Amino acid sequence: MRILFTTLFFAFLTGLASAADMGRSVVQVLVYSQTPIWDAPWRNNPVAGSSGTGFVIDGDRVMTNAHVVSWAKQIVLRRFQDPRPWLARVEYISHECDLAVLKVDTPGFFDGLKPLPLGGLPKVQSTVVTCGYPAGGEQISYTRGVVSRIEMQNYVHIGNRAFLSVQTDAAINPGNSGGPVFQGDEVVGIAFMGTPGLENTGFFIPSAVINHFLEDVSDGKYDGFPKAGVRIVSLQNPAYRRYLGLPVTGDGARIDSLADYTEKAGLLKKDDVILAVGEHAVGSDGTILLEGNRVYCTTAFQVPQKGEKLKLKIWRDNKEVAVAVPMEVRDDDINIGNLYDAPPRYFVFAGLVFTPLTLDYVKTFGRNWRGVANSEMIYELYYRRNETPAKVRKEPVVLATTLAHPVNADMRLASRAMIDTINGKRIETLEDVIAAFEENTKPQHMIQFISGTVECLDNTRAELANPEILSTYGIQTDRRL
Amino acid sequence: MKIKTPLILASCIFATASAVFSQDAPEPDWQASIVTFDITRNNFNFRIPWDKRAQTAAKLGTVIEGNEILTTAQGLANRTLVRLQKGGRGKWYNGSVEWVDYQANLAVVAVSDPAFWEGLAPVRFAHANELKRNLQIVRWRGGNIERRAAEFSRFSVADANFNQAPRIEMKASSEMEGAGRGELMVSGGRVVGLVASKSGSTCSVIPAPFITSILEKRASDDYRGLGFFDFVWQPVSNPATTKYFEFSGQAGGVLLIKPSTRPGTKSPLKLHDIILEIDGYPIDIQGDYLDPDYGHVIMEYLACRKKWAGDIVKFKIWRDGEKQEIDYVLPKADFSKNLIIDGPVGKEPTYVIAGGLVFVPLSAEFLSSWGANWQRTAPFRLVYYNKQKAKKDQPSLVVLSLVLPDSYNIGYQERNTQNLVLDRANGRQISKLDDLIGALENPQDGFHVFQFNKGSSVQKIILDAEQLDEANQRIAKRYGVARLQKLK
Repeated sequence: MRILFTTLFFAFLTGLASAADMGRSVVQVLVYSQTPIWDAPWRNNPVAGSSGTGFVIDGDRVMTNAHVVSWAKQIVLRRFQDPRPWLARVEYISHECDLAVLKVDTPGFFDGLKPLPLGGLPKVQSTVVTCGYPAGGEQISYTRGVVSRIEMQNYVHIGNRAFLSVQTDAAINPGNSGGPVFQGDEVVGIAFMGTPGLENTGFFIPSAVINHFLEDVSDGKYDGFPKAGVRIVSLQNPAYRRYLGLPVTGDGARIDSLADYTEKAGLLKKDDVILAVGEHAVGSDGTILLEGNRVYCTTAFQVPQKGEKLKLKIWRDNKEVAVAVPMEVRDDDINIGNLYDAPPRYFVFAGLVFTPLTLDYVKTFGRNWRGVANSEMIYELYYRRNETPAKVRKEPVVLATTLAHPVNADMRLASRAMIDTINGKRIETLEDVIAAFEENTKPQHMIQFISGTVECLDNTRAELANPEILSTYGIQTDRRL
Repeated sequence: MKIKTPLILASCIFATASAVFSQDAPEPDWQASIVTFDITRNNFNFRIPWDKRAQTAAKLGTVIEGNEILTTAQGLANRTLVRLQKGGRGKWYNGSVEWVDYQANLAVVAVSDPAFWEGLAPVRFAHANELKRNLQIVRWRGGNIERRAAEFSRFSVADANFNQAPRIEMKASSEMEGAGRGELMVSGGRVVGLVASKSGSTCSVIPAPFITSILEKRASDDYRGLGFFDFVWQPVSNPATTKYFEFSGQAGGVLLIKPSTRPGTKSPLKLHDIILEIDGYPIDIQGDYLDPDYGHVIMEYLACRKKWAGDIVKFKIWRDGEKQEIDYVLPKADFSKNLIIDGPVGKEPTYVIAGGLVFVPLSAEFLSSWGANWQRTAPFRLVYYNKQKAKKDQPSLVVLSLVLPDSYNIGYQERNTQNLVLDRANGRQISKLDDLIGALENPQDGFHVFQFNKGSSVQKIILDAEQLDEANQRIAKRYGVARLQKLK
């Protein structure tokens, strides 16, 4: 017992010592940011200050989390024990996997700082050390913990994508975000999120995801993680397995449904059974064995870069077939994730503020937005694409609000409503709204909402009122496209 | 003159006496006109549709002409025993519900034992001009008559809740605790209405004129139920809109934006008709009209104002730049043919259990098992069918509501296999449980193939056809299900 304790204690000290050595390459990231107001899209919230952590990587760059530098107006880095502020800028950012690479243009910043090497996937129960500048003090902080589990997790920054994630009981607090997680002399992850209400549950992004991002941007452009456009479900019912001609207790998970684009491509089909993704055999529950951990097979789908082919071994029509699926990046679900860095598009006409239907817009209804937003909006955001892809609008548009003016004062439905047509033109994008108003020569404009409700505006009065309304409400320009 | 004087005197005396009687006559003995109900009913959980839970509830009723008791319809669905007590204490008598209309929220109960009627007296209902003053709520409580003052607030048409006929309601405030179970609201010697519900201090009262019009219609053996307007309209207070539809200069009117909400119905109304008058009542730009009894109320009530399902309502509309008159036949407030089936009330839940997969019709009652606020708390996709039109070959829907775990259905027991709308079973389009039963008789190459609507979290489930019966028996025994299906 004594030896064991000593050994463990020694190992812990060694871990901390090496992390402390490498702590010189860990920097504090101080950010001033400004987020837009999604239902008054020409306005911004007050400038807010926040801090996170970053660390030096190859190529005189600093790696951090995307959420640390989102909407940044100014990024300042502070080196270990160095009082000088260093201005930085975002070189590449991935909001889906919550990673960003920063550049420092001022010479001298990287002097004496060693790039930290990336390691592999840590073992469950192995010890890791987090390092960063969490809230509660000014100096660098180290905390030790063990790897609790490794699995796919929803990444909360984007909100609608899941990637491999490592859970640890090492303290990860606000300010730790973007900081390295060490194991020995290597970085095995980047601290990025916790779970409110749960103690000792922090998460870090493993190196597989970090490497994918870095490889992606190595050509000077961020493309993103490709998607296969399939929904894979377990295949454990004996009858279903026999129906497909498979052994009752074997491996393989079933493709239950396909995205519209995947169905059109024709390479994959419903009821295809995925036996292997790349080199990984797929279990009947849809998991693969990844370095001793059973994780959902979509982990392996996230390995190829844009344009690369994903090799699948598939059971179809009672035989094995090999399929190489070209992997493409899709942005069809971008509006049901959180949006960053690009201010919202809008068009103001006669005080009517039109903007695209996005998750960020409906979240302006409050925490209980799902109970407040009208059901047509929820359906359009989350269900239309899967159920009736032929009727999907490229960019559904809402009347976000109406800026009161005599020209629009008699409108009863003046906000939070989705547009169907304007002057008879079906609204597919914000550009359609502009064209519908600008091309109308009739005495009135007629706006029909998705609910069937109709509101009209006097054409001539609306045109005349525009400049006055923009001036009254301090709107610099009537559109941002 | 000699002749005239006594006549004048006589008429004065008569007039005075009449005034005294109507204002100051002693109130009737409410003890002889209010009875207590004790109702036992089966309470169903539509998510566990084979499960029945007995529930008892107390409410109140009032004696009406013809040795009958009037009460609200609430709480009478799926009744197994109705008992009544007079005088607030003593013997209970068995009763039978002779007539009930859940849309009108009224019911009439008979008691066959002549002894029950001894000492009871029918009430008199107030007229429309007697509804607002000197209000009291009366009920039996603890063996004594309890009275509480109430204060008139307003008349309104009940919110267009999910599939409901428009009912006129009187709102009145009172501090009486726990009211809303059919208590009498009275003024002087007359019944002003029945208290149907209470929220905070506000009581919703079914007013006497509405009650008497229904009772009279029922007495004539020509009660066809309440009607409703099956179209959707919007106010037209925006002058630009009136100009666009070229009816500026008209005094009022509302714009029709959905001619009919009923599937497969051809309406005499057209999209963007302007409704100017209904049965001679001008409709203002808010959609209200001036009711002679209730003041300004929403025009929906004109579907129920002395009108019944099947009656013709006269519409004056603005169409194609001119006034036109059309006859609108009032549809019955029956929503049992909707895509989300609503009613008839009082039917036991139907279901089919196949290999542990529990299938139920998509109905308002099933969705209401998520609670009073089910339109927000039930699965969104199921509720949203209320906004969608039925397909011709699928006028109603069947839901896989849950899976009773068994080795037979292993692999389908996770949450993502709950609340899925069935599209086809063994290749057959499924609209109702009977379709499913038929489909299960024709397995495909030894398998039962269930396909769910596009967009479902799981779109296909396969079961072994040969083992189904054996699994059914095992599952029924394990989960205590007496019958594996109930179709009627």
